[in-house]
Amino acid sequence: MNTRRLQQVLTCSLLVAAPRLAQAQVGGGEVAIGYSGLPAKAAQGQTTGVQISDGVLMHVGIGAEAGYDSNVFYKETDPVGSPIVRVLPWLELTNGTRTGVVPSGVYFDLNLSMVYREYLSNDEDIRRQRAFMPGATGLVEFSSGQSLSLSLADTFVRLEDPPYVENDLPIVRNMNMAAAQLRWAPGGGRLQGLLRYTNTYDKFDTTALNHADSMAHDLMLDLSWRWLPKTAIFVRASQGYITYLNDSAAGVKYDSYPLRLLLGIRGLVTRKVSVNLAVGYANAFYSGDRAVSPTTGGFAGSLSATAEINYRPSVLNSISLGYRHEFQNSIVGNFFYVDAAYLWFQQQIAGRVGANLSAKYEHRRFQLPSTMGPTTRTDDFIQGGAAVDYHISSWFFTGVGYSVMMNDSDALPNAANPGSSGASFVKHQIFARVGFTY
Amino acid sequence: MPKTPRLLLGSLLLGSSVFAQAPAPGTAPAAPPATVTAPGATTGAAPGTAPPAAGGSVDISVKQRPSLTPQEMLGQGQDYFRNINETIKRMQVLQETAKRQKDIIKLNCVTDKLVQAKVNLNIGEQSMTSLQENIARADEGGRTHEFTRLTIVNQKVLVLGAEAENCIGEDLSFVGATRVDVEVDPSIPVTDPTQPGGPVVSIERPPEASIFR
Repeated sequence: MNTRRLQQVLTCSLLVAAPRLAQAQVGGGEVAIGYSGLPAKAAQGQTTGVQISDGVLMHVGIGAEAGYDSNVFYKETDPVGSPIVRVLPWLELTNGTRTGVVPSGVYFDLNLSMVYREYLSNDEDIRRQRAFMPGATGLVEFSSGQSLSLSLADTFVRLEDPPYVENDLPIVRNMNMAAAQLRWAPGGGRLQGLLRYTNTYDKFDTTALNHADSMAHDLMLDLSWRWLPKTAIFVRASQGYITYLNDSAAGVKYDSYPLRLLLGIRGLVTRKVSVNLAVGYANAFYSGDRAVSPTTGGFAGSLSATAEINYRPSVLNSISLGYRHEFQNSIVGNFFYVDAAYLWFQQQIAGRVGANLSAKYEHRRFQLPSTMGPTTRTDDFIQGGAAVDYHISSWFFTGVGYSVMMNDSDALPNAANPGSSGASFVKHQIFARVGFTY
Repeated sequence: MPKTPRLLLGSLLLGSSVFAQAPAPGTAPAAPPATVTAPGATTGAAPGTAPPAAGGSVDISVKQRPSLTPQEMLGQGQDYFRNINETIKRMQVLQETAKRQKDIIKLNCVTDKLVQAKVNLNIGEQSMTSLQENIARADEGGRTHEFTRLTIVNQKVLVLGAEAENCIGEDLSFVGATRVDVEVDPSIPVTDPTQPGGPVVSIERPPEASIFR
């Protein structure tokens, strides 16, 4: 993966805000579904930045958005709404050029940001959801652009979200992902081998979710043959290990050894159309007694598939349509099978206005340990977002944004907890925003 | 054999090269050296000349001398052979160069010249043998004839050597190094879509799990 792609992937996690789940990438591509939030990084090629030393640029920025959240606590019935304000200052240090060119040799990019969220409501339970959410990313690449290169990256994100029950403590989640990548592309680069180790540490500050604290390891080998200048056939194998860190997880959470073997094609098929197609075998290999701890199985359960097509009618717009079928490790139960379809559209107008529209549908089938009662749960999750920004200059913009999230679950509310309204909800957010990036 | 028919015979050996007739014995003193371009110019025995430099012009002028003694003719003939052998060696080097460059056109060109030079060398060797016999027999006419042949062969080989140099050297029509300009359709994305996606930071809000842990 080239430097820019890794950088953008890791930084996407910092395109912040409370509906940060809107930022999770889909299909490994560069599209972000849902409301993109305020930018936490300088746009490439805008010739901004302050030269603080020889070869080092500092980018700074701050953004603010104000709007309304229709369902602060993600409730199915009697939703509670509130005005909301978010502020995001950020700082970036890099030795990339103002035009976005990555230097050969050693390349680095460091980013710090902080999201401040305030609900402007008279309700104390709502005002208590004030949050400070720092984030940081770092990327260092050695021998960038050469046949053998090493990349080290780290991303830290802290997410504070309102609880499902109004008088509960907020859901606080800290995640740190570190990655080391070795890329080998000898000669003209037609053949490429990529070996990546990823370590993910996931910790909940919320007591009720301590059992979900986990450490995940993943080793991936990706071999590709670029049979055309911008089209490659690839095979990929990844082996992971997910372990839960707390004793409270015993009998509730089970370690797993996810394996994925994929074969596919990615890149341009025509001048304007690119695809990312992959199909293969996947197995979670959950530990524990099979009578209690479910694992993936069957043809559909062992199948992993991704299909994404991108169409760029011109340099001003692009459309992406995708589908994926796989399993994902889950906080609820062991895992869930997911069938997801997504759409993403971006348009630039007159060199000043940028607009994007995205939507995603996920059909999630949770597989739960039998000691918990029903062994399955099905959620239909829909997420959408739109934003229009007017760039007054290369370093100043203003715009509006909209986000919608809907979840329809067959999970029943917990009768023992009168505050719980279940897992289904509809949430709308609308924002007006302004930002400065230099 | 009368001298004139011998001279005419000698001139027929010229082939593609131009050369003047050898003067009849007892004629006027030698004219200044001149580049031979047409028959009939003053001629004479050409002194030994070094093989032409790569890509350089060849002086095929023939200096006119009133007469050469037999010993002088032998000495001059040996000089001719030295020049011819050095020229052939140089052509063999050029042939190896063309082989290393794997340029079949240059190789064929040089090989063609080399073959002709070797043929002329054989003719020259025969002429040298005949010259020595004529000197031994005190046959002045025969001596002069054979010496003329040697002179012609020498100059032909020099011309062939120059032509072989041109086979390897830059063409007169060379206009400069090849430059390749690549124009990329601006609609083609500048990013590389063949690179794999990065690790996904999936920091989603946990699903509501008040009844499930």
